[in-house]
Order: sequence, then structure tokens, then C-alpha cells
Amino acid sequence: MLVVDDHLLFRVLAHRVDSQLEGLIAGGLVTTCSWYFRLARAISADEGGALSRQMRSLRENEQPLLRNSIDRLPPTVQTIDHRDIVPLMASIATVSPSNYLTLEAIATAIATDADIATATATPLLQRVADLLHITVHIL
Amino acid sequence: MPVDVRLLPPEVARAAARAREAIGALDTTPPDVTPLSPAISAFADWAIESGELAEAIQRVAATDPELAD
Repeated sequence: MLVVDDHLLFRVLAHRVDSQLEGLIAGGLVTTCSWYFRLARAISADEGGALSRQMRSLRENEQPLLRNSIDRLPPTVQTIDHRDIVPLMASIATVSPSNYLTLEAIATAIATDADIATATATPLLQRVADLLHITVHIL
Repeated sequence: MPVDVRLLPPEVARAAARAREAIGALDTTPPDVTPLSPAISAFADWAIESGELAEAIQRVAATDPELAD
């Protein structure tokens, strides 16, 4: 199982997955609501940021397919009910204060027995992951 | 690497156990990431631009009542 950030979720939904990411998601894929929201907002707003630029780089016939996938995530891309994850986030915050996005990612990884994969290194996420012995892949 | 709950602080480990119990078994089916082949992509471009695919589907639907919708 692998927890992916917004950029890697984009790659999955756009069928732009390299062999390394494909290998990591072979055991299943989960994302957080924060990262899902960031991707959905970027594509919806189309303000020329990194994600919307990638969207524009897709072939014309692929763009509506990606929008559909974002509007309705495939069942193979899982998210965790906040009722199940928020108490764990609160518990993690007591041992390592952090922000909402990081706590949600860490709690999702712990609850689903998963590694985390992101497109860029994030010192805060890495620090909490190291503290709790969670593997973070930078792809 | 599996998350080793024995290495977690006790309060986090307890919360993790409750979360895992609440979540239950997850679907571990990997998502389909098969890239569109250039041939399929080119066909999709042609079908969208020409509208001929929709016409072809309508022709088939006209002969098969089960495909009418």
C-alpha cells in the first residue's frame, strides 16, 4: 500500500506512471483528502501552476478523461473516512506537532500500513515520518 | 516497508490499532495505469474530431435493441 501526494495522484490518473511508481502501487493506492483537494482545486482553477500546466500538456482527448477521474476517483484509489483517521491524527499531534496536511498523510500511512510517496521532499513530513519510522519515497 | 507499530509511542500505537480496526480490510487492487497506445490515442482524436464514432455506435444501436441506450 502506498500513500501518494497530489502530483503523484495526477500521474496515476493521467496514466503517466513510471516503472518505479508502478512497482510501489502494486499493493494498492491511497491518498489523503488534503492532497486530493489540492489536485482537484488546481485542475478546477487552472491558474497555471505546476499541476494545471501538466494538465494542459496532456493530449486534448486525455484532458476530459482526467477531469472525470478527478470528479469521481476510481475505486482503486482509496481515501480514508475522517471519522477513522482524525483521532489518530490528534494522537500523532501530541507527540509531534505538525500541520493538518502532514498529520493526515502520516496517520493515513500508519492506519493503512503504507509507505508515503511525494513528488518533492518536504522537511516537515520527513521529520514526522522519521520519528514514527515511516518510509517516504521521493519520486 | 510495513509500519512497525511496536516502534510507535504507546498512545499513537493505541490510536493506530483503533483506526486499523475501524477501517478494516482495504482493497489492494492496483489502479490501471496502462498508458494509452499511440494508435488508440490517434483513434480517439479522430473519433472526437470527426464524430464518426458516434455515428457508428448509432448505426449498431439501431440494429440491436439492447444497445439502444
